[in-house]
Amino acid sequence: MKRFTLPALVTGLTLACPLLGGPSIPELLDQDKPFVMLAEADFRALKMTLPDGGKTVSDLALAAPGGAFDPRDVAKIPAATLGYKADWIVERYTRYNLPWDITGLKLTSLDPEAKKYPWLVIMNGGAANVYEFYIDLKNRPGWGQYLAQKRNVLIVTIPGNFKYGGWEKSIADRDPAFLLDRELTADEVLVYNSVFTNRVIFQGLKQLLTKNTTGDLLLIGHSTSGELPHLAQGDPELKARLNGRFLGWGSGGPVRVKAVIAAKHAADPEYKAAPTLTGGGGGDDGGSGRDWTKPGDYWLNVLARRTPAVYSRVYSRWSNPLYEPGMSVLDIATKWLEVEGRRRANFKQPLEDLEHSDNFAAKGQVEVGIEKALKKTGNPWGVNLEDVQKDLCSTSFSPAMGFRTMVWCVGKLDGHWNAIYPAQGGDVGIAAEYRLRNPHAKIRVIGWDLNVTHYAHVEVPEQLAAAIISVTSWMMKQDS
Amino acid sequence: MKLIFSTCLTAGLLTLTASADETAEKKIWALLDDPKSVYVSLSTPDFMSLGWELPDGGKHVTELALAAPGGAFDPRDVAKLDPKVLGYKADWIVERYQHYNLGWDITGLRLTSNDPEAKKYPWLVIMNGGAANVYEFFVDLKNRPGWGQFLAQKLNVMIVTIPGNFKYGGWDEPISSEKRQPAYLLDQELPMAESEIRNCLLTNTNVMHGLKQLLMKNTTGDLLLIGHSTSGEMAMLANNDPEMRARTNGRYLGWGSGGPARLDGVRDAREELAKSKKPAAEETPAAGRATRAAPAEPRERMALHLLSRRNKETYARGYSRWLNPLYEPGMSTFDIAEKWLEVEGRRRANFKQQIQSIEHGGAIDQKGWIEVSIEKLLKKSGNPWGVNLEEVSAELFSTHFTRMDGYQQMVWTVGHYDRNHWLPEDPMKAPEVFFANEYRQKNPNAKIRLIVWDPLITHYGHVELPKQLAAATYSVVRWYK
Repeated sequence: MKRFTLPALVTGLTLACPLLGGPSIPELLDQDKPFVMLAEADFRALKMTLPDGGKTVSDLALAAPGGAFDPRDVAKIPAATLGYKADWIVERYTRYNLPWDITGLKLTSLDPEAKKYPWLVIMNGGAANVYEFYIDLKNRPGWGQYLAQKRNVLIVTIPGNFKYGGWEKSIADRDPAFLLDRELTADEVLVYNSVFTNRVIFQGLKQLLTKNTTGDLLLIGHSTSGELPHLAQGDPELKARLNGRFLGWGSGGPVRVKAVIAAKHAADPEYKAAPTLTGGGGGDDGGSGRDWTKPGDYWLNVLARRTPAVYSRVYSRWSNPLYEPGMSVLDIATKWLEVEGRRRANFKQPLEDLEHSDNFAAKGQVEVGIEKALKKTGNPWGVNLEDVQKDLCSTSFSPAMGFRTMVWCVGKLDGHWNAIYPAQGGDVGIAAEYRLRNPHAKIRVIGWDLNVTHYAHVEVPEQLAAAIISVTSWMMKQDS
Repeated sequence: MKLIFSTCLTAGLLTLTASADETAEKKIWALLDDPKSVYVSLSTPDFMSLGWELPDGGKHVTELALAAPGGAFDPRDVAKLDPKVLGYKADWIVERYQHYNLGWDITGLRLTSNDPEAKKYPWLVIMNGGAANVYEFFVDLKNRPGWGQFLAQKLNVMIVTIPGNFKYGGWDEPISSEKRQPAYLLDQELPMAESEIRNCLLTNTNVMHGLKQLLMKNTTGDLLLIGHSTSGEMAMLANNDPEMRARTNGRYLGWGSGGPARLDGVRDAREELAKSKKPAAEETPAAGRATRAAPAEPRERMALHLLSRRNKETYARGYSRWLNPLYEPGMSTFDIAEKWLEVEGRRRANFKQQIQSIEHGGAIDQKGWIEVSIEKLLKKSGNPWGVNLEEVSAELFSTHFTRMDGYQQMVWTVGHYDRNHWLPEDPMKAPEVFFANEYRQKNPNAKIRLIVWDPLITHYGHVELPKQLAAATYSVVRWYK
């Protein structure tokens, strides 16, 4: 009886599982609601495999000091071992009379179906780079590796945030590597940091995409780089390749739309900001209370440097690969910055933050800051402040129309979501604005209903990859 | 004998006038040739010695104005007058253009000088500030000859009225009435809902679009753009437009013009930095900020579609002084302002769109609020015009992105008592000094000058001493290479 009962129970549970699970991702996205959520069990059930289990790349990373392996070495690994062909691309371009390097790790999937889908272009937020989207914090397979089994993927690192071999200097002392073939002088660093606008990044991104990919694009701008897909919507060539689609992962909205939402809130006497789990605020430092110029004349050169205190606020939680029972969130954050201390940039320029938050009024301060930097250095490069000033605050002018299918994906503990009042989450509000402007578009916000943060791509990369693949399949079906 | 005497007297007077003009002109040139002075001043006697007469003494235009209710004569009637009588050929131009899917009318009173030398100089394009229009630059407050009439004896002149600020026959409604709305289209009255949305859409880029069409279609050769007051932005915005930039040819001429709003933020930033480096006890009043004589722009958040309307109180502050043609002994500045708005109550717009003021100021943090305001109005009206908010959003605050490089010669002219632009008690802190110095930094090889007309003329010196101001302006124009 006992022997009969157990197999029967197992069989019964197996059969019941699909019935116990909630709606699938496509079923959820078919619902025209302000937001939907994928149940934790369904999210965790998502699976993907790598041909070699990720071993070859992990070996590379484990062999390099601080895990800062050379992406050119990935390109030497047989594609059959990886499931995709890897190429490391460095594009040099000129803006403001200065040369800049932007990089892309291009993963061309071996899956013949991949070419039916847009290139998935992942762009790091302010302090990260390619590594975070390719391997996890323990050098196990990362989000990009899984995604590339089914989709063509390009992982972009914004200028300055990648350095061959990583940084030997501490997080507090290091400088961005705006050029990969030489160290910059202190004067150069001062000026590069001072003119690091979203327009600079966008120009490089466009060159990278135009020269190294063909066909449709889905631009996933993580965190601060959430501005880039929206800038692309304002560029006729890239807009044609976006083809009315937007896919967000921890992306939020452009500062232009955030300013509109803020104005609506200000005009509504009934409005009261909804409480959040953490009291609001993430690791970014673009808040309205920030005293931008406090560091003095060269404030644009004073980078926001990542610290355990900042990373413990909302970024370090229990799905982090480094978490072990008994650790506090500060412990996780400390460990994180320790293991990622070399290969990850862990800094962000104030101008990046400023343009990503509602600080249009600081344009004059930025101009004066740049002027001071140029004066101090003697400006041997011939940077024309007039060329820079016209680019400032481009994020306040991103177009918000012309979309057909938009999906924001958000982790439950991400500051872009509100776990207590989901209807009042940041990305839900942003999506609502796009609905107003694109009444015929299919606009969706999908939350992953488990304890993952803004950094779920290092927390649950396999499941997140499967989820995103499902989302992109749904997006493409909307065209048919 | 009488005739001979009279002829001799006239000839003598003309000679004396010409001689005085030449003397004063040389002084103006000498002042402008000075590369070291931050600013220079032309003395009151020299300024007052300037000027020339009109062929008919201005009689014909004055008669036209006096015959029209409220002085709102039809500019098309000026075009019918014999150029020999006027000293120039007058044409009234209405250009309709499309922007934000709406039609807009911008007007120009084109005065092509009879003086054959005029074609050697750029077209002088005068653009009204927020609440004024063509009349103010063509006749004075008593309908006597205005600045434009004098200028056109020597230069080709185009007096531009920005969309909405001119109306055939003027406005019947009192200034304070909400029914008094801009005349964005000259051939039809607009429903209130349309006026309200248009009031929000009168961005500087919109005006610039019309200005460019007006100038491209109706003038040739070089241009000197004089944007008075709020329209000071126009001359600066033209520097962003390749076609206009080619025609301004590195030259700039200001009259009560100030600088672009872009510099407001820069000024604030400089002040903040300077303050942070000084002990509190050493702090001095902010540079580049005069005691504003302009009507205070609405600080309270008035709905965007509502107009800022001129009133006696605001015009008494710094605009109404003792050289005003309406001044009579014993009058207070309030009395002058009251009289001014009374006599100009019909033909002068006397309102200003908030969007004009906001874009001319430093409040760029209001972009979100502006978008929301327009969105609400479009929603309320059903947007039968098909206005695309995206197009508007893309153009907001263009005044904060004006290029400041590429200049070869720039001259700001300013009245001694123009409280918006000059600070006689502490000139180095005057706004115009700040602006000129900022441009000096960006254009180190350019000749950048600031000249003050020393009589007690205000921001409205063109209605106070139009004859002298015309001659002074002409001398400045002749100074440019």
